[in-house]
Amino acid sequence: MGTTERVANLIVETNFADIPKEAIDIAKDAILDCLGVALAGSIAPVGRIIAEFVREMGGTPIAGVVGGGFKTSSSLAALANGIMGHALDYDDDLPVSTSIGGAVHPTAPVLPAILALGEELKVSGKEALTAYVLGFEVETKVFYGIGWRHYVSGWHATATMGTMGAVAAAAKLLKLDSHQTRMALGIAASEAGGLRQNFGTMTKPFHCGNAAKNGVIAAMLAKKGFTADDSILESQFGFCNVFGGDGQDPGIVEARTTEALASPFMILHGVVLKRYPACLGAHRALDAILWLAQEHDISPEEVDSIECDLMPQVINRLDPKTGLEGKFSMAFCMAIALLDRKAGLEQFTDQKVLQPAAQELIKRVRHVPSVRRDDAQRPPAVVTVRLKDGKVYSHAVEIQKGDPQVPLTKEELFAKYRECAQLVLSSADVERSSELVSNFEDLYDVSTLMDIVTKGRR
Amino acid sequence: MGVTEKLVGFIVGTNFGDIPQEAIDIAKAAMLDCLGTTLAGSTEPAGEIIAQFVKEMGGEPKAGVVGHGFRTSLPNAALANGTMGHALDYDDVGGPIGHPTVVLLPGLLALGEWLKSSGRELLEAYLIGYEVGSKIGTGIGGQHYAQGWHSTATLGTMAAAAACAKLLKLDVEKTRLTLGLAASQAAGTRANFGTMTKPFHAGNANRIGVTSALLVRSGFTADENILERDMGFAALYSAGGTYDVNRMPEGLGNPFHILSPGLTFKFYPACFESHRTLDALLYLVEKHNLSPNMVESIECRAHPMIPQILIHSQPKAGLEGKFSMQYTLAAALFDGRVDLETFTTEKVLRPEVQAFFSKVKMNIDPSLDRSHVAGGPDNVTVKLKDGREYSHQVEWPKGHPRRPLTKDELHGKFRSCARKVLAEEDAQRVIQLMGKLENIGDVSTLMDIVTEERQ
Repeated sequence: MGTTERVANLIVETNFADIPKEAIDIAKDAILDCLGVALAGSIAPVGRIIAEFVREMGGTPIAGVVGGGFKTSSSLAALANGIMGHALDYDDDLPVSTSIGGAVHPTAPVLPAILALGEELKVSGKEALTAYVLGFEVETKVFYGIGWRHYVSGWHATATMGTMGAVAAAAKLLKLDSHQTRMALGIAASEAGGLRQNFGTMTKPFHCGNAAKNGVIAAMLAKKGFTADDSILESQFGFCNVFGGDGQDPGIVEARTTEALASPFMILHGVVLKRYPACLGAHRALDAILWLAQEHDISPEEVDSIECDLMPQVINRLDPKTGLEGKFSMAFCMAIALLDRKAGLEQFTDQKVLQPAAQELIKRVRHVPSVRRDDAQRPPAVVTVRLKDGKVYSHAVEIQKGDPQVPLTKEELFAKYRECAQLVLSSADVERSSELVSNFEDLYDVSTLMDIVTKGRR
Repeated sequence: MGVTEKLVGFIVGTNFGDIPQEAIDIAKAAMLDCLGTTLAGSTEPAGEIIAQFVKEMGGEPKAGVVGHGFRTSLPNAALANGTMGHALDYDDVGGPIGHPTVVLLPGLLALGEWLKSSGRELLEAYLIGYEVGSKIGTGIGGQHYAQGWHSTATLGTMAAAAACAKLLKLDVEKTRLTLGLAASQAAGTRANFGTMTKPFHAGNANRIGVTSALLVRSGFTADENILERDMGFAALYSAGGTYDVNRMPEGLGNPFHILSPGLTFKFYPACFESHRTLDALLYLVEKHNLSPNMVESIECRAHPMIPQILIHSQPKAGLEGKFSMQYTLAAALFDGRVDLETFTTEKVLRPEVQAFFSKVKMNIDPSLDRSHVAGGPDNVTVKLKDGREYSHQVEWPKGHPRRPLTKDELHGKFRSCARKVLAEEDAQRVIQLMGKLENIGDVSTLMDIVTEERQ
């Protein structure tokens, strides 16, 4: 049996009862977190532009736009809500324990597809959770099979693998059979794209919305009888070949995927819930510098230089001029942490990035590559602050707060949700929506939840 | 100045007056041909499904869906019409994009219908998109396609984005961002050849071009040097092969790609790589009055790339038959012709035809020249049961710029396609309108005709 057939069978045959309670609990936290950041993202510039665009295009009003106060087609709702979910780069990520940690935002490409179709089909919370866990499973296991080189070479795995996750979830909700599911995977594979070169621009969040939308479209077309290659993952000119095949033995990719699929579910590794709305690559250094600033009461004027690994391969904006670029600039993250002693929603604006004090401090950040250790473990993030009076403070962080190994508490998760959601929703709706997600498996129809989060701004 | 900026300088700075009349003439013929394949494709299963799909999705009624009698949003119309245009694989061919017109015209017509663009503006945007997409492909190199990317989808997306930015009159900065946003959506693998997803690639390229240009016009941002950056379009889509971004701005519009190496109009509704052998076999069938029961085997000499494009050696569906050396040759022998009636699933499944597939042999010859898009010369040898052997070699297939279709043949092809949807007089009106396209003030006149629901 080929990989594509295995994936299709997994999607078709897995039901809610097959998923452990622990996975459902992680899923519910991730879903709440994603809804929160989507609500906050709906008022970011990219969120406003996409809502307006979708409104102008028009569509049969079936699925709501987060924070928008209107409905559109399920494909356009998936597009808009996916973009909003990733607009702030505040949504979840994969933990390092998965061995593909930090490379896929698992929820933002998948959840919007589920909610849009879920609203159209009036699915239950159990069905939505099942589709979510399967979407998560497919995007991460296919990525695991192809391997890191995919991301390293410059593909934004959240976009490419997210498309496969979104179509898996959409196929499940549409109750496609095994053949139709293989067709849907084949169509979706021909829609998958996304370049990391677009990090730090609105096109990065667009990747998530596009993945969600493509998943919805592919599954709907397959349901209508549209055809595609039935073995798209392993076919000679198929998905794994174009996205990871530069010299890589397809047999190895297939073996790795098959092996990974044999032990569900990837979500049991947990997800990283972000404490800062910035690229995950900056989080450990942010933990370190915020600790240093607090511990030693460092004021920005005293600082001569800051040393850390700028991680230019991931965080690619070396000369940030906008809030979005600031999220992909280690130097700006260091600067703003010293200036504001916070790295929250208000810190990543154009104004904050362009302020002279920040631009001045950015020049004082120096790249000191982290030293690889013998045990091949990821080296800790070390931040060293040198003061003008000669004092030197240094702090190292192994694992960022928010990783399953140092998880956010329930209170912290709810506090983050409230901080985000209250930008759009009334406090009663904030509480009501978080309760609905906490008891998601008891929800009869996900539209109840969507009715709340797609209200217009209060 | 970077490569993206140079290409964008060409997009923004080139006007109708800068384009040679010869290129305009081919563009007009190509657009007519593409409208024909779109009309015929609108009644194909892929065309019917995509039309039904966009109808259900709904959208502000701004742009017509060919042959289906309704209007929808610009991206939806671009998606549907692009899919229809490629549904039969009967549309034009030109490297390195692959199928240039079908990734450009549907998106431009959708935008043009809404903007009430003139025929001149349409031609200008089309030729600029064609040129830029081709140049990007030249710089990316051959490994892109060899690895499995469908260049019509990927390069087509960049071509469509350039063309749509032009028609929307975006400035230099916004055109750069449009290319950046489009590059992150370019997709399409060749494993989907012979399925409905192949024509979907063309529809998708159009949709992406329209959507990207509109979003950037509304303030969307993207990387402004997407072609040449470390993790940009050329680096990733060259698939580990060698690429040279500096070739992209070299000789832009001098000559235009549509003039050299030129554009091929398809004479058969099948993958272009089957056309040389079809020409050769049909010639032999007619000359020697061959019938299937006389034939022991058919052998053809082919470049190693051919079986990697004609991937269906045992086709079971009409669409698969278009990507099959075995079926195209069998059909030519059994039917004596290859046309719109050839590629139905029913015809492909004929037992006597299925039984014949084993008699078609491809002799792979790496020494054959693949340096031009025609990929010839291909040689077909028919061995008869009585021991006779006939051979014929075709270098340039009918429809290639070296063996162009006559105006009558082009119009005949258009009429045979349009007949599936339009009344005879409407087909004639489209031919007339396209003939004087540069004098038309508003292209929605044209769209009104081809959007009509079929008779």
